[in-house]
Amino acid sequence: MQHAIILPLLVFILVLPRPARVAEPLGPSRSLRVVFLETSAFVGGYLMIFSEGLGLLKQLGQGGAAICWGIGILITGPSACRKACS
Amino acid sequence: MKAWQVLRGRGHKPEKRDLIFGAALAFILGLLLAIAWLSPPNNTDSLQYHMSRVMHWAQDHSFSAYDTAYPPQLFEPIWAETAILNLRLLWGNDQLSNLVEWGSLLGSLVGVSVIAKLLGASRKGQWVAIAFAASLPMAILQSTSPQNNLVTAFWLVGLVYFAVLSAQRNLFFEELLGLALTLGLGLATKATFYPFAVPPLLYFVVQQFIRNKPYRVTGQGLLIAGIVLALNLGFWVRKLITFGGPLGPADSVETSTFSGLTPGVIAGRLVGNIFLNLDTPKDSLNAQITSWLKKVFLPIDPHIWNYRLVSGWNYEDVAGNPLHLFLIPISWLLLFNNRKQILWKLIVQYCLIMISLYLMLAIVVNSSVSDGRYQLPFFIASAPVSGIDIEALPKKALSVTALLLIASLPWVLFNRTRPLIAMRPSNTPFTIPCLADCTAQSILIEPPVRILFASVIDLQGPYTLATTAIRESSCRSVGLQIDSHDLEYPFWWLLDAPQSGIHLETIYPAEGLARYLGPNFKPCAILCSICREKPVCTV
Repeated sequence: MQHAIILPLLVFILVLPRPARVAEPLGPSRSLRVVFLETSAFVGGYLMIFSEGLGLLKQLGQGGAAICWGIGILITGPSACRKACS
Repeated sequence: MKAWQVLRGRGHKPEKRDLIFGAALAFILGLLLAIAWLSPPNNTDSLQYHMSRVMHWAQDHSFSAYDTAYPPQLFEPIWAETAILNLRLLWGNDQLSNLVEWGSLLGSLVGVSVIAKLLGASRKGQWVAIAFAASLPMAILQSTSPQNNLVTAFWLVGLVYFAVLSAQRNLFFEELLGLALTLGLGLATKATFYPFAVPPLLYFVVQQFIRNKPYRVTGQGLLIAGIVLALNLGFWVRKLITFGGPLGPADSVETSTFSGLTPGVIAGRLVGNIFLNLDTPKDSLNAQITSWLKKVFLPIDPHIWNYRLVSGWNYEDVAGNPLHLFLIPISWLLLFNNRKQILWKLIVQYCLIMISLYLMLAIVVNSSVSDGRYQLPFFIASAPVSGIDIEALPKKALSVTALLLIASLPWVLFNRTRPLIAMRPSNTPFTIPCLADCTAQSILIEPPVRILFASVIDLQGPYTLATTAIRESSCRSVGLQIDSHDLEYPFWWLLDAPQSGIHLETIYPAEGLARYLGPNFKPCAILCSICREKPVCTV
């Protein structure tokens, strides 16, 4: 059961390595730390939206949460793979 | 992982000091992670409502309103607890509950380092900023609990970052989304974020109008409003239905915010907030300070009559940040000396945002004795400026960074209710004498149930006795007859509910919430804290 905890971590990791667009004034160092901030906000927003949705359907249980995090992996996975391989 | 290599490749090669400070910071964060991992939630607020509401949601599979003796369970914002709920659903129990605040501390440190960079700090200055935030006593103490002030600080740091970036160039679309999300998530996390959000948001709006045409600003505004609404609509609507307003019960909102607001009251609150960071270990000295404050401010601020200073340097409900309170104005004074070497205009604007944050807290929030923690987002957001100014001191920046990190250790090691090393008059392992207040027993040797009750040790016996009677029976429907300020979560923890199959419902709800009593709920046992002096179980 505890293995399911990997799901939100995977979503975070899959969103994280998208190369941030570089622009002044932050220049090169914008990359990882800024992407970390943006990723936290994206994942935090996703968590809020799907939790509210599950709550509305009275499905806010382990199964519902695992499915929603799984959908998150399906959404972010292909894009992350493309970027990693390109 | 080419993308990862791209990200890493953009950073500078770490220097020796980066490795040393990185290792020191990792050591501190590692110790805090161990405390968060080993300790069950035991902060009073968490036992009262942060964790209790998570249990109700897990049991009900929804955020719908329920009957409770403590209405803040229903009207306080929900994001931090929603994150805790997700962790508990996926992990199966509450062991990860403290990690949301710990993760927020980590995120806040990343955030302040990026803001420091944005304001022109070198890597040295960024390290000072990180050390400043990481050594805040309140941040250290809270990072191992399931409260929400560090989460609030994290979203505020994100919002401030995007707002300040918008002063330098137009935001990319994903950055605009980031700004909207940090705003929406902050509002969904804690009510104190409402006043904190005003200064950076106003700053962003002004920058947009300076830089862009009105139709573009309007478009951005609509996008931000839409995202904020999407994140908060469900919660606001539930409060509207239950309490008649999107912020909660009208009387509660009024007494904790604008009640009797005058310039004198604001001044009283401002000075009161400052002194919440200056509590001393001596109760008599605290009483003298309080008496002086009342004498000076009572004519202009009647609310200060209730003001109290409570000693508790290592307790997350009342600990202050005295060193950092002085470092902030000192570092701002240093600005004048270094104004030719730094991004003077941007930093002054940043300082004005910080001053506005502190003012907004005094204007909007009627703080009481244990509300020093509300100031935490301000202190963390102030770290970048301190980093820049201290960096400018010749040959001092590295020493200050090292000193700040070392100075954080007492709060890491001697947390009053979750100490790694206990301060007690005993010879047990991991224990030293009570050098500065006594603490609970070390979490390295204490059983979890003792840690759970560390701040209310007298209650362990009655709570355990009452719940053991239920666990040994076949009863699975338990009614809670508790007072508004009783600790609800320990009942859930001791009964291992809801995953044990035991269903708990309040049968003595607060006024106006009786309509949420389940019509079909027939308890076969009642846990009562108000029937006698101590909690009892009636079967």
